Amino acid sequence: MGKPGPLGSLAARDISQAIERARRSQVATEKRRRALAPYGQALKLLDQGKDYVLQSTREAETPFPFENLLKAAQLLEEALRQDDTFPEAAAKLAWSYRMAAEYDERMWPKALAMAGRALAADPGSADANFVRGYVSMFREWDFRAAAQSLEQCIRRSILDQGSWRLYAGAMCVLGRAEEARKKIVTVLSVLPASVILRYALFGLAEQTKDLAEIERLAREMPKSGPSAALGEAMLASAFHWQGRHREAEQLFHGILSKDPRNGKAITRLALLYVSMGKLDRAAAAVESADGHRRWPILVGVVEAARGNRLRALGWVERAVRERDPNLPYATLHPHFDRLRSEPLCAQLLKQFSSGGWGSAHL
Amino acid sequence: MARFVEPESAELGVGAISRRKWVIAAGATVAVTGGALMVTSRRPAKALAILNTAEAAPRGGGGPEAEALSRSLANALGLEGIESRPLAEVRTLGSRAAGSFYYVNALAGRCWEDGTRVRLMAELREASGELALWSGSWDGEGGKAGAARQPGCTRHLPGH
Repeated sequence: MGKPGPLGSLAARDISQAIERARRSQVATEKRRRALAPYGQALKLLDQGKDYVLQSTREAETPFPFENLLKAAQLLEEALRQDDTFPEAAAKLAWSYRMAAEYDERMWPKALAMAGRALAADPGSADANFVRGYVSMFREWDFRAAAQSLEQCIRRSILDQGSWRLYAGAMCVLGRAEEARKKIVTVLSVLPASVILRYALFGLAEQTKDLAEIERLAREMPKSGPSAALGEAMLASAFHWQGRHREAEQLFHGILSKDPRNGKAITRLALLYVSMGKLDRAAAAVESADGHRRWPILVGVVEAARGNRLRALGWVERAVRERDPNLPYATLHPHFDRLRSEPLCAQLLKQFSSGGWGSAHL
Repeated sequence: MARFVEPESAELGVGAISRRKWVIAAGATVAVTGGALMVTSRRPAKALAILNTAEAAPRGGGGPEAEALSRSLANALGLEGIESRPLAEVRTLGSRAAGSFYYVNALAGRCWEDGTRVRLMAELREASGELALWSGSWDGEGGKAGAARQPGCTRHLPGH
């Protein structure tokens, strides 16, 4: 066996010190021992233990079964009853509440409160910071706070692709896409095939209008497998950015002929039709989306393009009220310009946001 | 069949380590795992290192330099044996262990921004709770990454 190189030695030393710190901070009390049983059962229900490095976009986007979340939350609550000084249980409970909020909005405050409890005990908790960042991003629309929390999460879990993806979104809204790009490519060095990271980088390239990079990222996507359609949608969007509208349209139709419910393709096709001035087709594309994917802000953008000012503002109001998760991203798009110039629209967004909209976007 | 061997030395600075050897069949998916046993509060705690190299890619990804870097880390961690094994099996080992069980997931690749450089990223996790404890990143010159290439020393990630 050869001698370790300097980089390997340096890393090994840092890793050893981290393990030693973890060892010293272990808690081995009787109440913690009792809490570990329900905690372990909850983790199984939450599917913890999957290979997080190999997580696909489909896995990342598929909602968890509500029943599992409910049971896991009950077990984690029991773990906290056994040991109320168990920050990991609080963080996982916050995580469970956050996912349950996708089914029941009343869970959002609980998720936030529980994340706060976990962070009070362990300010660096990756799980709790992720929940904090998620709530800031999609509920409070406080993108500065979201970016800060997600940076904390990434500091402890640098290979967590889901956090990087959210971080990229928050940084885009803050107008700091280039700063985020420089960080994300560091992870892509070791995970170059990650569709989640590539899609995040794609969004950042769209913000910096790097048309060559947009196309290159799309062409480097897998040509087969579950992510192939996403790659085609990215390529179609690259064509859209380049003004190659007919090619983009053909690609989107190709995707939708295989998967008529592909939300990303429907959304981006509608925006393409807005660019092409085919507004009836844009409206029809939006109509073809499943109910929960018929994003109010997208309808608002199409209505604004059709000149239906009041109707468009009505949809913006609804998007704000329902916390449409696409709204922050929509504000980044040139098609939002027509709405952006509406004082009522800007007023609505500012009124319902805790702050942090990039000045360039409002 | 690949071999998994606990390290002989206390190079990780956490005390005595037993020398029991684990021999486990290689998994179908190409994972590579090196082992290092560490200390819990009363007795040696356990940590496994999973050394990954990303697949070949136009930018970033695996290659001889990344393989060498993983090997270098394995050497520095005092890992004598390297084997192919998926992460799930590492966790199974962890679930059987008494006390906390740590694993290090380390990925090496050529820098996306500059293919002549190499990068190593690692996370330390507590296995039973799947808890992220710490992570780090190191960059270096490709040619100075470490020992000579030993094919198969790392887990090659498939496209996903």
